[in-house]
Amino acid sequence: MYFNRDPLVVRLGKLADSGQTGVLRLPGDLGGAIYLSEGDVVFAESKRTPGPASGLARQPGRPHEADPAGSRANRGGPADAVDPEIAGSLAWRFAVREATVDAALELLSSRPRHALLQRFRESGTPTVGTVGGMSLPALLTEVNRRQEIVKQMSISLTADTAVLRNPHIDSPELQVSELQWALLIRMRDRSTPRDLAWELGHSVFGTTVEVSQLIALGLVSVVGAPSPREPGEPSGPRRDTVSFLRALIG
Amino acid sequence: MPVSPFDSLLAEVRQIDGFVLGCLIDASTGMVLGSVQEQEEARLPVAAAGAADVARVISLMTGELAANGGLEDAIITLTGHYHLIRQFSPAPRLRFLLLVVLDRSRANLAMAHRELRDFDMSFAGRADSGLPRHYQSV
Repeated sequence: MYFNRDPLVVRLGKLADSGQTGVLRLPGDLGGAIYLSEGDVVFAESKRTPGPASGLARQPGRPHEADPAGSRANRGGPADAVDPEIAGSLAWRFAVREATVDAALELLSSRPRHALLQRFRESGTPTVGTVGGMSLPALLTEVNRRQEIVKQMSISLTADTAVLRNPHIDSPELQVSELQWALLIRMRDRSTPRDLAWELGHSVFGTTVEVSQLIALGLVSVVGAPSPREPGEPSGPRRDTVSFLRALIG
Repeated sequence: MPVSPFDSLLAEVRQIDGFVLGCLIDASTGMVLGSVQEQEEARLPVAAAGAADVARVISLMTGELAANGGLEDAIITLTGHYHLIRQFSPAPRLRFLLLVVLDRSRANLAMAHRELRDFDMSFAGRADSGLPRHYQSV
């Protein structure tokens, strides 16, 4: 076990290049942990993003019904405590992948990154069972892509921006996805995408993107911003939608 | 190097005539989960991001239209290629997009469309799957 104050991305690069297995712990309110296996990132967790089990334990449109499989997975415990049937399922593998990238985005975007005292321990396994890892370059590419999308949205919306449902909708009927519906019914006076993500067990990044889509549909506004569709007034300017392509090619 | 379960899912679509590239994308975040391709030079991230954008635009359109249903698939015909984008839910609550790029000179669009639909529907009866139940009206 040893300590280091390198920037997190540099530190991770050194650990990945040398094929390390273990856990890099980042203390503090913005902290978390990144688990490596032979240089690949197998899991990451952050204090500011939900873990993979919480999403499987909740049905998006049904706040009070729990998924039995998800409930079992949500018990936590040592790695081998995850039911092999759950650990082998596509849904679980996806949940772990998404939670890992979501946490990595948070950890690698936090400031000041260099001030985090990083402690690497050459032992320690995540509580998610055996799942396939991602190479560090692949993880960093995905984190960079998400940072570009966050930049696109940041003019009006971040994960910590308070939003509210618009009281007036001038369309007689609109259609939303199941996830968007789940967000709408949970939205209170000053909900943020991060609050909603924790409530739903969905990724913070994914929730923020969905909230931006709800803003584009005119169903939601940022608290303090003029509602785009007040009754009796001409429709205000529509916000730009997120573009995944623009995040890659600028 | 072990093949990821997401890559394994795509093995079947590789059999479609004219196959150039296939990838599995998370529709919510645009993240590429798995991919297979015949030509390494194909710019997979750009094709995947374009497919995710197309799906988002169609989602906005169907949202505004209250179209009583969402995207099933989208076909883009370029002079050299076909891009087939299909909404794909291999398990409950998973909302993926399947992108398959075909070489137009070697592909049969109608057959490819049918094969992709059959591939998608083959997950409907599996234990770790469920038909999409994504759309609700407000």
